[in-house]
Amino acid sequence: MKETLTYLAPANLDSLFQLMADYPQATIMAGGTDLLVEARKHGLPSYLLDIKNLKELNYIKIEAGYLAIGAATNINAIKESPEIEIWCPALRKAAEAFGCYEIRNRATLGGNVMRASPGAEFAPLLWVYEAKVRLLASSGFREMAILDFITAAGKTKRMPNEILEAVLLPLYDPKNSLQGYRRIARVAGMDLASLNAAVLILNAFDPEARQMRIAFGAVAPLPDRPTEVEALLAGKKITRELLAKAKVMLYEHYQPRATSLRATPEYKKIMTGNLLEMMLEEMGMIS
Amino acid sequence: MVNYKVIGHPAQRADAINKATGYADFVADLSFPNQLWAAIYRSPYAHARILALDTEAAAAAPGVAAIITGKALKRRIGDCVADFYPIAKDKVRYVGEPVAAVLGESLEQARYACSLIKAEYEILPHSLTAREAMKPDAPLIHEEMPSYTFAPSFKPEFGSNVFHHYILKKGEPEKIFCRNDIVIVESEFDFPHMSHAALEPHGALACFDPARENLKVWTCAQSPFFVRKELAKLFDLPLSKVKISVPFVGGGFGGKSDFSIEPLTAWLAWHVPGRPVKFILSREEVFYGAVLGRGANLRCKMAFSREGKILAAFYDIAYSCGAYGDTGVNIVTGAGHNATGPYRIDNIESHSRAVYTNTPFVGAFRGYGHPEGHFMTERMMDLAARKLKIDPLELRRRNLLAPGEVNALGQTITEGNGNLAACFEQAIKEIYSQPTPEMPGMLMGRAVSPLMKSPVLAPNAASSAIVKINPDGTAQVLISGTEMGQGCNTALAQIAAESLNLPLDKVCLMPIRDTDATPYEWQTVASSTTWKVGNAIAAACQDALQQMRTLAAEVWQCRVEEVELKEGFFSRKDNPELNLSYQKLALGYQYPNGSAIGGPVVGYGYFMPEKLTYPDPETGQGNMAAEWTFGAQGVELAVNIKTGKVKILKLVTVIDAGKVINPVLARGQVVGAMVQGLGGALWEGIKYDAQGTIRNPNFTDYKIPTPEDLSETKFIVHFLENPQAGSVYGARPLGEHAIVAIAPIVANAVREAVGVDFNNLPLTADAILVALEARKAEEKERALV
Repeated sequence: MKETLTYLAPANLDSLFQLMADYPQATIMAGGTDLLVEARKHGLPSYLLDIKNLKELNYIKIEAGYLAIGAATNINAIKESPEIEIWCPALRKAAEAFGCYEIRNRATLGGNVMRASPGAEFAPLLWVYEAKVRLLASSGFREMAILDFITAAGKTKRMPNEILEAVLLPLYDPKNSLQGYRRIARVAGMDLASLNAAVLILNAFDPEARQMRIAFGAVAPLPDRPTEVEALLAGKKITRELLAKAKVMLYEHYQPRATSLRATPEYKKIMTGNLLEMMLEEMGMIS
Repeated sequence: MVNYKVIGHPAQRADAINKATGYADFVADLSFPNQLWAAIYRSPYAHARILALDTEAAAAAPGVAAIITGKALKRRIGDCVADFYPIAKDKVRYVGEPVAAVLGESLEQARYACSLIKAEYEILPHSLTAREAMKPDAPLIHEEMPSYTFAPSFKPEFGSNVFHHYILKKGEPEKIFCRNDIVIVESEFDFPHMSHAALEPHGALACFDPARENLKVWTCAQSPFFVRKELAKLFDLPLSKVKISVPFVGGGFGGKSDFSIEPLTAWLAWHVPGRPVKFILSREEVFYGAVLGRGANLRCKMAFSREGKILAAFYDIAYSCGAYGDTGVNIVTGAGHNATGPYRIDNIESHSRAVYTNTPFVGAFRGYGHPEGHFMTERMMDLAARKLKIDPLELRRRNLLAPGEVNALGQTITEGNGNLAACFEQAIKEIYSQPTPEMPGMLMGRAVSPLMKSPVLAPNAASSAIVKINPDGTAQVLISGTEMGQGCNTALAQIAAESLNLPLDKVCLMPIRDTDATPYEWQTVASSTTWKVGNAIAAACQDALQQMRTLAAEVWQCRVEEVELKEGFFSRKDNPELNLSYQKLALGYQYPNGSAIGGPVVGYGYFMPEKLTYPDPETGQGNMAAEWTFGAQGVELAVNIKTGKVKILKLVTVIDAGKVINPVLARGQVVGAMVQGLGGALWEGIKYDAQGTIRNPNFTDYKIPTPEDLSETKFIVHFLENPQAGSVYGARPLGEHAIVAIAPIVANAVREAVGVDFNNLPLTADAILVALEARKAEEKERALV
């Protein structure tokens, strides 16, 4: 029988790295919202290393062309941040859709990234943003594109001596870009996304120079960017005809797994195109 | 119109403050010294023989007081079908069936030890649905069925999995179907298994005395006397030695209406006499460790005249009742004779079968067979209307059951049953008096259906009540109908106050429910408590008043008829100056010199539904419905063409309630039923994997509607008040009726919106969008051809 749970809560980064060295078997937790769900099924781990209260990991700031969000920043903080409202309003939308108020108060952006769930609320957005992650060890830090960092569902390239320190979002000029986030859930109240999608359009108002970035969550083993569809829609006016073509491509591109409890593969296939259409309509991008 | 002082008014709930502040006790709040906690090792297989059980490691774990199996069980229990073992004896019949239990000093210790139990099984083939289990080569789930005891009126088919086959025959349907001047409509419908999703998970606490002669159980049961009877059977104890107490119950909806975990908890307690055993289900366990609802496949063939008169109907209904039959068997009879919906049909053949399947057992769920039957019949009426090219409302009008006409059971409907046509017309007015709003990107649909429901009662479903008058002029009422959130403590206190001619604050409906102390109640089911227990209370109040009136006559040395009831006192008709208060009479009357006459006033009253019978063995007809409540429901909805999501704009219920006792509580019940109905129509359904394991035993993936889903829905509720014959204040059941026609009106309105027929529930956004796209693709193809 599990006699005890050892709960470790470092007060600063130095102490964190010391504890990580002393207890390599410890599970790192931030908000713990997924941990508790898992614990109902499989029990709690023996060692918990709680980074929630590390001030060094809790911030939202602009630095050198990036919007940096500390890994332990909670979702309500993202939802209410004026910087995010300016620089990444779609992230705010994702934060609004996330869980419920109480969950948002606990859950963190870092936790969402580290869980690397195929349907993670923020994943499509981080994918279209081509966000980076900053990993910190006692010896220093390194940065990596999020696409390289997350390798499979639940798997990342974090080394055992590292922690995720921040997520870095490039600053795209709001005057020249448009962005959107949409999710489908079964009920309007608290629910996990059946699938979700983000769009980022750069040089949005110059059809010829226009770049399209599109990403979907929960339709493939990892969040996915349908690059052929992006190419199809880039650099030209998006007519209804063109969009119809894009929708057919999306429908054929994805083969979602049949075991999801939240949506059938057929529904997801249809909804990829419909979500894209809904976001483009909202942006006034269809002519 | 009678002017009532207390009933008909929106009295505040008697338990409002205690519940809002957390003071009210539920089973989980109770604990006793020396108490043990139970954890259950459950079967991972849907159908298997238990070959070996290894509990050694579990027994050696810290804090383990006992490990218990079903090996020593002597008899099966069940009121209608005695097929139930509280814990598997030699065979498991569903994933989740208890195989062994650990009693631990703490819950954690019990759960840990439980995780160490190992078992070996011989896996047997299984059936998850009734239709599968009815196939000739289907594995037998209860090979020993011929040895079981069945109550009268239940008809098992030995050698199969069908443990009850109810047949209703009226007229000569086979002749009608041979005619060549008729229009035939035929279809098949499916209602999945559901969870009641009551806020309070099931819980029980049981304790035997050291000599094992007395059993005490605290439980969230809707029917304490029913539980008492079955537990007395299980342990061969006299009824007087089994005590069932029910504290507040956090929602029942039928999921606590028979036995659920009480036999198991008591069986565990039997092994540790002198020590209380506490067993509270986790939310996950509520899905596979208690009782499920619905689970019906319904096939229907109807014959219409070209003018739109229903001439005949053939029903073939099969219920997937799960591994044990007692909780579900009577629904099958109810569904069989209520399948007609509120229509006059002279020629009927109805077969409804209760079938064992390898899932958790299935029981009552708000509506009790009626939502299933109405889903079939009201969808059929829409299919027929299109085929006959008659307006669907008009088609229904032409067939509504009217006073003077005879229903499927052979009962003649009277004005005293309420006004079905008026309910229907009012619902139509609410939905159709304004043009459909236009909403961009949305397809609009509307539908209205009439409904009917009878309480499917045992013929001797009695209620009783005791009223005690206190010397301060207050009154206490004792009953055994469960307060499970529906508000009966409030509505019944109103009936008592009205009957005693007292203000409401002088009357207390006592929260105690205890088979040792409170009077008999059959079951708290069928929305019947306000009606049945209300009538018993009114009779008990009359008895108490009569006792006081007789005593006053003795004091005044006059005839009883000379004594008149006033507000809280009696006076003499010929001399109104003379009066005697309830205070003066409550404990007997005491003269100024100290001597006393009479005695403490305790009134008793009962209610027995009138002349109910078992079904006729040949025709299945009979006086099986003690009353009918009629109503109608309507919906206006919009379907999002890009997501398939349904937005409910307007939801209407009109019910002929006879007399509304408390309008706020009545509306609360009706709106609650409508919302629960929407859950079943749009979201809810148990999902099994091929091996019979429930895939969504939690609220993450079993979605029930929450306020956000209905924030834009306008709920419209109307009550008509045509009094019920034979009911003291004219009230009739209304609590679950507003769930009855929700699924078909939603499906019919979605059909109008998107042009696709849905015969299976739930109508998820997923199902609607996929069907809509398929229809579009088909049309495109057709256009090309």
